This record gives sequence, structure tokens and C-alpha cells, in this order.
Amino acid sequence: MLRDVRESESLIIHLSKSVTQVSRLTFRPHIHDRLSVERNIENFHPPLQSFKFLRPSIHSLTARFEFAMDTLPFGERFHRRTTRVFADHKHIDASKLFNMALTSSNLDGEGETPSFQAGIIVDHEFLFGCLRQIRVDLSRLQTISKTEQSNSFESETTEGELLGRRDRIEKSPTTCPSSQNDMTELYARIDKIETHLSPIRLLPVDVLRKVFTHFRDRQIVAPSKQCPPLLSISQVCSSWRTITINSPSLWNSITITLTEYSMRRINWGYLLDLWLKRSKDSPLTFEIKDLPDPGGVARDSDNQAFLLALRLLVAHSQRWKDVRLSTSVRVRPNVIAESLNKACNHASFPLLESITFKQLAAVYG
Amino acid sequence: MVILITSDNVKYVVEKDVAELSVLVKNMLEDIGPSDEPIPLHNVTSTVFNKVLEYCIYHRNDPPPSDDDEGCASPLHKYLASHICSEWDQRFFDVDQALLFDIILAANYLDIKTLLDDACKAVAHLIQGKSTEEIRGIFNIVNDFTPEEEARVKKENVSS
Repeated sequence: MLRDVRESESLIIHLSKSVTQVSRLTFRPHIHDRLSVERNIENFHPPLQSFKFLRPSIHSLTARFEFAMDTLPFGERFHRRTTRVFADHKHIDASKLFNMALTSSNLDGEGETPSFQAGIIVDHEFLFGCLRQIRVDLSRLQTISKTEQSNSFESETTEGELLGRRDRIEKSPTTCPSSQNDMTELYARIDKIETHLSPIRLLPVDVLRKVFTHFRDRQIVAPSKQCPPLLSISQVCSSWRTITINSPSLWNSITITLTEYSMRRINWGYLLDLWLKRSKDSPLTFEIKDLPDPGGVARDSDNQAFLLALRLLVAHSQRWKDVRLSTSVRVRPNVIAESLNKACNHASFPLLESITFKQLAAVYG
Repeated sequence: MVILITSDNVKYVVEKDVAELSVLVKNMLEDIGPSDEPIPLHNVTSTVFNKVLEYCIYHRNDPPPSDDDEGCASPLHKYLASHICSEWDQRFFDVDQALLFDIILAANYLDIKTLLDDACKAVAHLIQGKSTEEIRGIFNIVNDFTPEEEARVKKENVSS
């Protein structure tokens, strides 16, 4: 633990001495070293506008600092950036890492305009890989800039100057399309790193799955334009997609509400099929509801939609657990009974616990 | 009374029934037997523990949680479980995201089921009714799909 404390202290002291532009600092100390860090916060000149502790970490030491806005003459995009320093105390000395961050982002360069962003150093191997790639990109950008902007710029060699040049390149994208592409690529990579720093990533997979479970009983086909919540969640990022798609229990509760709107505007057959596939072999709980518009007229197509949904589900009869069929007057009960009867001749229902029929005519007829 | 020490060395003297809402603490107390030995909570800071304690004191007389949260529960039971949250709970979870996630991690570590369930409900509430893009914005999540994955996702949306 003593080593952890020394590292945290040294990082804070280093920050307070080296970077006068820091306005806000968020710090995730090692466990037990909060007090030692607090003792050194007052050394910042000018004093920090805000300081916040995050949950201590067993494995890593993290500082995130933000710079006073008036010290940054660059575009809005840069102003919003923060620089973060991470150190894995098992492998790396925090101060050395911070020095690397300063060097790469040119924060303490004498007489230089402060700039930053490239100084992202992290504790996971993947993120180190990204940093290395950023450095390669910066060098590449430097070369391209020298070639393509030789008439406009003086010969410059340092990374800090390169970052300044980046701003100028960005302002004239039409004159330097290839550099602009590189910049876009660079930002995309930085954004990707930031994904790994989002606080929600602290949550273990089991906990995230628990959060997503709150959406398992929602309607997959509803009389509205809204996308089923689980579908939206599964499309947020690759890790959420992996969690959701590999959790059959999230997809085995299926509620379909057939209305004039949903039959016309939603590809409910596709959604039902998707849910059936993603629920894999897990027991199914489902409800098909037929809700006509008030005063609607019964049509054969209404029967057809209801029966088609039923047919798709009958193919998974071995998984039926709880089934609820709610129909309005427009779906004829004798047609459903006939269809189910046919299906039962060819299907087995080993897990079936309950099946409920409900006539909604009294409410909606 | 039970003595608990958070990761930042803050000592708490807590009534036993409150402390035992945490299965972790309960098991530790059973393991060590009658003793004045303080119990260290390595993964919880005092800031977060203050909130956890506030929750445990308020909910100390609640009936024990059911083990079955998705299996045999009736649809009505599930609906009530996922929607009902008291005004006090709503105020309790009205905190910034970082603290909310810290509470979740603490509840998970301390094994306090009701707190974990309620906190997850609070996160679900943030997601509720939001589009994919809005969810990314709320949690600062970047779309990191490969072009192939992106194409598959788009296909899902077009097809639905």
C-alpha cells in the first residue's frame, strides 16, 4: 500500500508543479491513499476550480484533468477535451506516465501555446495500443503536413507544434483533404478510447444484464413508432450487443399487439423471428393481443395476421411455457381453435404450464 | 453493534440488523463469531457507504427480497416490481451517474439485493423510452461497431 500512496502523491505533486492551467481535477486513487492526495491538492496555483474523487480502484491510479478554458485558443472541439492519465501500479510508474503525457501533449512546453489531447495514457494493453497508433498517426500527419502544407508552414518538427498545425489544417479542409481524413480517423480513435472510459463500463456484465432485464417484458410489437427497447439497447455498442445477444432470457418474453397500425407499419414477423432466434432454447412466455381500432370492421387479413403469428410460435411449441392469446371480435375464436387443434396434432408442449384465451370484445367491440 | 471500516479508513458503528442487510457482512459476522473486530469493506469508500447506509436504515424493516425475480413471478408481480418505486427511493437515486454506478458496485460487492435491484431500476429508468443514439449520449458511449456490425444493425432497423 505504501507504494500506492507514494505514486498517488507523486502524481498530484507533479500535476500541481508542472501544469498551471489545470482547472478541474478528478482523481481515482488507489484504495487507502485518499488522505495523502487531499493533503497535496492545495498546492495547485492557481487553485483548482473543482476537485473530485472517484471510486478508488484496486488496480489503477487515474487522474483526469481539465484545463482552464481561456488558456486554449483552439476550436471548441479542443476546449471540451480533457486529458487523462492512468497508471497500473503493478507495471508502471505513474509519474513517468504523466511525463509521457506532458511530452506528447506539450502541456508544459516553455513559451508554447498549451495544447493537448494526444496525452492519453491508459492502463490496459488495448488502450496502449491505441495510443501507439495515435503517435503513429501524428507522425504520419506531420509528414503529410510537411509535404502538403510546405508553402504555408515553416519547417516544424515537434509534436506540440504539429498539434497546433492540426488546428490550422482543420480550418482549411478543402486545401488538404488527405490530412483531414487523417484527422477524422484520429478523432474516431480517440472517441473509441473514450468509450472505454465511460463510467457505465465499470459495471460488471451481470449487473448490466440485470439492468437490461427490466426491458424483457416490454412489447416487441406495439401500436407505436417506438423501437422495442431491447432492440435499441442491443445496438448501442459492441459490448452491449454481445451481452444482449448472448442472454437468451432477455428475449424469451414476447408480447405482440396487433393493431391496424402495427400490421401496416411494422414488420412484426421479422421482429418475432428475431426474438425467437435470440431466445435460443429458453422457455417461452408470450402473448398475442389483437386490438382493433374502435369501430373497426373485421377482415380476413386480421385473422391471417393473428394466425401467422401463432404459426411462427407453434414451430417452437417445445419451448412454450406460459401462453396468453387475447382476441377481439374480428379474430374468430373458432378459427383460432381450429388452427391450434391442427398444430397440436403435430407438436409437443413438454414445458407448457398455462395457456389462457381472452376475448377482448367487451372492451373494444 | 457492528464496526465497519471503509476503504478510506472511515469507521462506522452500525446496528447489527442494518449491517446484516449486506449478505457479505452477514457471512463475515457468522464466520468470525462474537467479536469486536472491525470488518473492512475494501471496495467501498465512505462517500458511497454513506448512501448505502442511508438506504439500509430506511429499508431495514422491509420484507426480505424474493429469490425469484424472473422465473415463477406472475406478470402482475413483475410489473409491480419493475414499476413501483417509492418517492423516497426516487429521491435517493436522484444522483449523478458516477455516484449511481458507485452505489451499484457497492451493492454488488456488499451483496445487498434490494439496493442492487432498485439501483438497476434507476439505470433502466434512464434508458427507458430512449433511442439508441440518445442512450449513447446519456452514458457517453461511442458507437464502436465495425462496418460489418454496423451493416447488420442497420439491416435490423430497416427490416423492422
